[in-house]
Amino acid sequence: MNVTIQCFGVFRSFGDRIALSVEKGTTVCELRGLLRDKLTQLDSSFDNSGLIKNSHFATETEILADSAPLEEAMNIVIIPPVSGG
Amino acid sequence: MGAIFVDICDVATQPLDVMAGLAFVTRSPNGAENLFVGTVRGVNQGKEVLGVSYDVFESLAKRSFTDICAEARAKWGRELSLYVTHGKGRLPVGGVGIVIAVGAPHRDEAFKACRYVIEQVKHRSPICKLEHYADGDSEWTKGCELCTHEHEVAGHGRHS
Repeated sequence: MNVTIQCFGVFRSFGDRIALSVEKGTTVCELRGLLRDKLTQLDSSFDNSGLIKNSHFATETEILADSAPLEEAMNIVIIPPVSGG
Repeated sequence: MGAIFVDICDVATQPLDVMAGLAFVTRSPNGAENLFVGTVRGVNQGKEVLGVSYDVFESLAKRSFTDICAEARAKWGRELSLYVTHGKGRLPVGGVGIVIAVGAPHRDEAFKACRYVIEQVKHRSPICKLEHYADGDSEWTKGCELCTHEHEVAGHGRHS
């Protein structure tokens, strides 16, 4: 199934959105590894697993727990460490 | 009973209005208003800054503001009125990035609630900051990992 990840903050250097094909039942936790691989494909110099580990995934209405399963055609956003105010 | 107002403003078309915040929270019979205004610093970690660009995930940011304001009222009283607006887009040095205003019956809860709101926003609201430097570089500030609950914030250090 396909999910779309909206890039936010420092991830905008990879574009507005990243499409990923994942297996049914994939969790947010597993998505971290898949996204790291995808980002390395897009930019071979990308080497920042810590950034992905310290980022959260969210929908328009909630932050997703690591155990949350992904759903078909899901639109999610990756939120890196924050610095508002 | 008090009221809550939260918003995100595109600063290219709508600069943040400090006095609007103060006006919103000034309500009878309360007798104390506290105002926090966050502006863009000209230096960060020894580098001269020309401005910043705020990237805001609006729907969740507004929700976080509303949750935080509701928590402040639960802690310091339903009479509190709270106003939170944050800018998105590019601001020069000295530009206003956030306005927080709190109206309360007395100064103690007004000060405490205002401090609470800014500390929580810094850790729980999905907002990123790209700094633009005098040497031509731009860099996303490192920030802190997004906290999803109030109690997580206490374990994090304070950020400027």
